[in-house]
Amino acid sequence: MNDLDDRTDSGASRADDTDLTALRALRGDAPQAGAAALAAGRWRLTAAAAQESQAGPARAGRTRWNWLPVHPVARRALLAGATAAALAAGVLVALPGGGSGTRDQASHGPETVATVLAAAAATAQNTPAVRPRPEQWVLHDEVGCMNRKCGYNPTWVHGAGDLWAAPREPVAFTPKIDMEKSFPDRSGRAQLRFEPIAAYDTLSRLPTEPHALLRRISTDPRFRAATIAAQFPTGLTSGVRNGERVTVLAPVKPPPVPATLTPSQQFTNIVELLHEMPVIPARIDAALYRALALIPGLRLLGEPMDDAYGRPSTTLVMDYAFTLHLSDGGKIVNHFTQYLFLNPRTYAYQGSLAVSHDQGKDWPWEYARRAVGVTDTAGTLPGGALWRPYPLAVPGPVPGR
Amino acid sequence: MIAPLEHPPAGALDDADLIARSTAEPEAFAELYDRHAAGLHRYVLRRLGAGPADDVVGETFLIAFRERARYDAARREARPWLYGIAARLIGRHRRSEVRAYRALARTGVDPVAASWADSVEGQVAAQAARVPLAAALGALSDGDRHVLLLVAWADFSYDEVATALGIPLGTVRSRLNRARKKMRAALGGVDPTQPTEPEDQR
Repeated sequence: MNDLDDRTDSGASRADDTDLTALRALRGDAPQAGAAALAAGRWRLTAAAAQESQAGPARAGRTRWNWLPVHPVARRALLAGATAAALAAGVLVALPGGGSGTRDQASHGPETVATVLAAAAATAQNTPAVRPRPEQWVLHDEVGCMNRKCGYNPTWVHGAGDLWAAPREPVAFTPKIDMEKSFPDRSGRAQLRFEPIAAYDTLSRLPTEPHALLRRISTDPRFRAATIAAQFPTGLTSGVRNGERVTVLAPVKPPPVPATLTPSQQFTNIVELLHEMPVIPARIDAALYRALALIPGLRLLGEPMDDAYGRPSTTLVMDYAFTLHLSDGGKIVNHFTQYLFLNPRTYAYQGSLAVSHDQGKDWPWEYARRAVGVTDTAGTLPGGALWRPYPLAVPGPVPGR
Repeated sequence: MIAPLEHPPAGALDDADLIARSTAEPEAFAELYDRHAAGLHRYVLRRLGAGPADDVVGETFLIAFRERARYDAARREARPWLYGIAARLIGRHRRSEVRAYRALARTGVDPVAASWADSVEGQVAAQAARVPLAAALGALSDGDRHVLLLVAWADFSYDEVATALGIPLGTVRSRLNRARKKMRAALGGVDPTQPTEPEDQR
């Protein structure tokens, strides 16, 4: 506490400063603001700043300070570096802002793809990810829905990647956890999801410059393979063939790997990475959102939309077509819409939705991330509480829920 | 080869230069948030409670961002400017703020502290001066309360208070004198520094 003598001038002696001393004690146990308390304000500010940047010269007008040079590297450094006060360090936990995002909270002026992704990057940058220890478990609790039928899908993966666990079926009233060996397939995407430490280290070595990162994840098979494999597990797919919707069980050719990814593939690739990776180093996580901002064709959904967990979202979307070549020489062309759900308050990753549009019908499958975290025991949440089933929302029709 | 930066990072600038830079680089303003939001939040938290504090702090920085072109660059430290904006916003909550002081004075339970305290016991933790202080705070004019609490809770100097509230230095002195007299009168024989013991007059 500062000395009062040079701050007060009430004519009272120092001994009489006891009134101020008492006043300072009143509500003196008020805590320093935590992450959640400060996050929303910072996102609002960041969004406003990004919006102004995109709009051109500051509406505030030019001032005598305008001689200050502007360097794009410094500009990025400023955005990346202005982070000190945000989310508290510690365990990687639940989603920043949790499920509390509402439309009211999000109503802070018009948003654009650029402002949303700038805010998402700031969120990611300020959300410390914990590199798990070998004996720890990485929880990824998500709701998965296919054609509007939803189920729990929590998994705990051992840091070392030797074990993974999931609730015994059915999970509704028996939250017992089965321990099983990890998937044998450790290639590509499975390696990312089921070898947390190795994946964390792999991601840590990625470049943070957005152009370089986009180029790298679009060419490195460990990341690029996720794009197609995630949507069409080998041996099972469906689509429209000769005017009829068919389900193809097998065989399916390995998806062709194009020399360069299209914008839609780049978008889907990053969405899948965000979905698959509960533990991403913060600077890489932030860079992924900055890389998203480089992809043309991405648009911001102008209407309210809930995710599969029933939470409102700020939604980025892209339409595209996908061609799958069958081993018999045929091919299936699917038209898709890929959605990326972000928390409308904090812009943290919240989930994704891909919709196949065929024969006038929508075939949605989606994921809503409920929580991620590092735990000491399989079957528990960060903090030690036992994982329990929770109410599931029934997703509405797509789009415009 | 990496080109050298043409100017220092935001963290190396003082508040005035940072605000200046933000006219060309709006994102730089976030650094100001990182510097001052936590302190401002705690100040507003003590006055209004958790919910309003989140909103007031967020709104304060948005207003500051939009008004930054009018910032007086001679003021190298932006804290008074920010707290002044916050004071205007706090004023919109005058009724609830006063109601909370009166409730504390009447019941001994602090509804504002309830927004962060873990338990009722925590809210009624012994401090003999709480009740008379709350009663006196609730009876102050808005202007006097702003001055007093900026000094007591934000550690502002007279000059900083004058800047924050846009009032002359002499007005700061007179308001603070008036407010403190009321505080002392309210405390009377209560020992404000010893929660449970009789006052040890110095």
